[in-house]
Amino acid sequence: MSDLESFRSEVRHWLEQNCPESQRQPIVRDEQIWGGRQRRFPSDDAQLWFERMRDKGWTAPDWPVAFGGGGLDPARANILSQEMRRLKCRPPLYESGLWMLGPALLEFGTDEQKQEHLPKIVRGEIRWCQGYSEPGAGSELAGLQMRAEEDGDEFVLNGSKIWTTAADLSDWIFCLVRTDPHASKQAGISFLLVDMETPGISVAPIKLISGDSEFCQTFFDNVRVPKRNLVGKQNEGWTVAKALLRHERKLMAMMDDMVEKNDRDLVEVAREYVGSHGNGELLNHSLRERIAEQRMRERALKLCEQRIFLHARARSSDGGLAMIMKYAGTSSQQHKDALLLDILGDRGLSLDDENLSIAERRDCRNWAFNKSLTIAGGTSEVQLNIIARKALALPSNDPG
Amino acid sequence: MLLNEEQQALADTLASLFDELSPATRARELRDERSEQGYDVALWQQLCEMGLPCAVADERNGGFGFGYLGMGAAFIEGGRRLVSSPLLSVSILSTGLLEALASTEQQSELLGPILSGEKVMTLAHDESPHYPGLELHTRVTATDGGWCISGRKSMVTDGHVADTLLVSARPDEGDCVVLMVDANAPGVVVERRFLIDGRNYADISFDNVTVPANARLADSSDCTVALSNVLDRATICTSAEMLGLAEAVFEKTIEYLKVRKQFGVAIGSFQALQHRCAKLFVELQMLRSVVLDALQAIDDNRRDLPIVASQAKSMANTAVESVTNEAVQLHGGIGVTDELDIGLFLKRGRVCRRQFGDTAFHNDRYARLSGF
Repeated sequence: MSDLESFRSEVRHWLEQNCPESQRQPIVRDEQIWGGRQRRFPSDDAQLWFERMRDKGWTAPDWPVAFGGGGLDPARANILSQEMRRLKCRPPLYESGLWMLGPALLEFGTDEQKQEHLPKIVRGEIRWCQGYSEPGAGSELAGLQMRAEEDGDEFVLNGSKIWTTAADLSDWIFCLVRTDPHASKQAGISFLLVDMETPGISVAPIKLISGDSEFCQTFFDNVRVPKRNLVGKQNEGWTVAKALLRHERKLMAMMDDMVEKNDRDLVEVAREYVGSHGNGELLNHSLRERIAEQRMRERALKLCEQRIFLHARARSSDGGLAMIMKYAGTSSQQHKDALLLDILGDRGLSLDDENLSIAERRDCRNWAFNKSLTIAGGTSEVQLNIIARKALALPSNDPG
Repeated sequence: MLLNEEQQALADTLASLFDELSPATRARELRDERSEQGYDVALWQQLCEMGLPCAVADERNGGFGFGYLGMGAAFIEGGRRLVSSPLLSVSILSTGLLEALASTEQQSELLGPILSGEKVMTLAHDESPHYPGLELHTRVTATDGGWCISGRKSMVTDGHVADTLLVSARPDEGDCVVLMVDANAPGVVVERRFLIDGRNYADISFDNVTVPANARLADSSDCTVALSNVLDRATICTSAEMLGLAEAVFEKTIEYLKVRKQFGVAIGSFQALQHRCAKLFVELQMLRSVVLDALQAIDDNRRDLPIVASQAKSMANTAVESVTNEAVQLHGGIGVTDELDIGLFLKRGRVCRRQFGDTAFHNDRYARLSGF
């Protein structure tokens, strides 16, 4: 047996012995394991699963052992992830420090920063949130205005960040701040790590149209941050941010396996809510045709993913195919959400009426929540700009 | 879904051959000439000499196993340049039906002449005005020692140049059968039609046409399955042609937006136009994935072929509609002149949408085959 094969069988054996049955069930939103000082485990099994994985460093399998990681090479990390998927193991830790900040620190951080922050991320002791967008800087991220003025060994921060996910539950925030107000947009930005307990920080959750409030606005009023918390060079934070965005895209690709599945079968729901003939044909012809088109769209997207994979494996150009996926995937999801509500009729029109089933309320919530899909992570309009410029090479009149 | 080296080489060879012998402008000449054959005879001869019509035939019939993914390249590249030839009638429809239904002796007798380009054979299946699927009105009844066919077929591609017709018809019992009829047989009346795409179609009526017993291919139970399967293959090849057509007209439009100036700048720099183009690009990429998978599904003998064929045609219909309409609109005034090729793509696309079923037909079929 080769080294990799014996590693695979060890991993499989260990996971079978150590992953509790309850942690091999389909993912449920409320049972995800998050880190941080305010953490509460959703169950004893969840805690056990987390602690066992943490002790092997497998919450961050490919990080160096010196920082608490698993020290696995890419091939072994891949085997672990394959085996976890095979056994349907839930992720032992959800943490943006793991997915986004950590990889950036490994690339750009000082030794002190790595020593101080990485082990706490691996062990789920500190929860991180991201401070990028501002009320005046959304699609135009480089237009951010939050000031960081030098004062001795410190920066003094003033301004606010918005869409900071779970800022009210987080312990630290990584921020993009403006350290040179006179430089051109991207040039005057720095990447800074800030303890949320620093005086002058306040957090206000934002209530969304779906009833959720997982995003916050975070205000900074003369917040003093030591200069040693700068990641990368001063005024060169844009480089770090771009690297981090690459990790965010990788994360988006992984996300499919990490979120609660809402695989409502449109046909089954339609049978229940609009009825069908004896031969199985749905009674409502307009909905029937829309369901057919939705299924085709979803299948076409799966085939696009396969084609991207095949091109990557063959190292041939996909002709810009990958650029369509964010736009097409999110549009398709919104079509499905809206179609589902049309099928549910009046049963799909409440977020909180307890006379409705949990599934009905969830469908309504998802419809509202998923409006954000075409806005967050690069709006659909920005995606279309990218396709026009990069895939079609159409000319540009403006500097953006 | 990716072409192998051989298939890619075939695609490249055909692309340069078509560029040389049959660029899109050739479609206008054929239309204006109202040529006798309605397709490019010289080009067809050359394709036959290359052996292209045999590409997906059985090995025992001289085929060389390029598969439908390889053959699809011929339709995609042909679609890009509006190439007209009897390739679909001969290689996909006639060869497909004969190989599925005819005896070995019939196959060796009949396939040689059509695959070499000596003769043309086609399938007379459609009945006016809409694609019928397998619900046929043309009737066939048993007579002493043979069969009698009555009915009217429409939109028979290559119908007025074909030497032999394969005719689908409804028997007294069962869904459908396929009969072989000499185009010159008494009672067969062929009327050529001239449509917007300048190609050749015919309406053909059968007035109590009698044919011998062995004119009926195989037995009726096999026939419905085989006909359905061959029609699915033709539907997918037509979708491949439409993919090529849509991609080519889209690329021409993008190039135009880069050179056409108004208000002192290239109009392709306007965001309103960029977003429309980007959305078309998304639609075309999705169509490309679906068409390549459908071609692969034929090669793999996949059981979901009927559903895959309906999805490919439905999406090709929709994409061709949006891309050709936008191509005309984005070209502005010159887009509605006959001088430009864009109109040729618009018109060919419009005919293709009708062939082998429109969007409503395939959406309905897709839903039915999916059990809802």
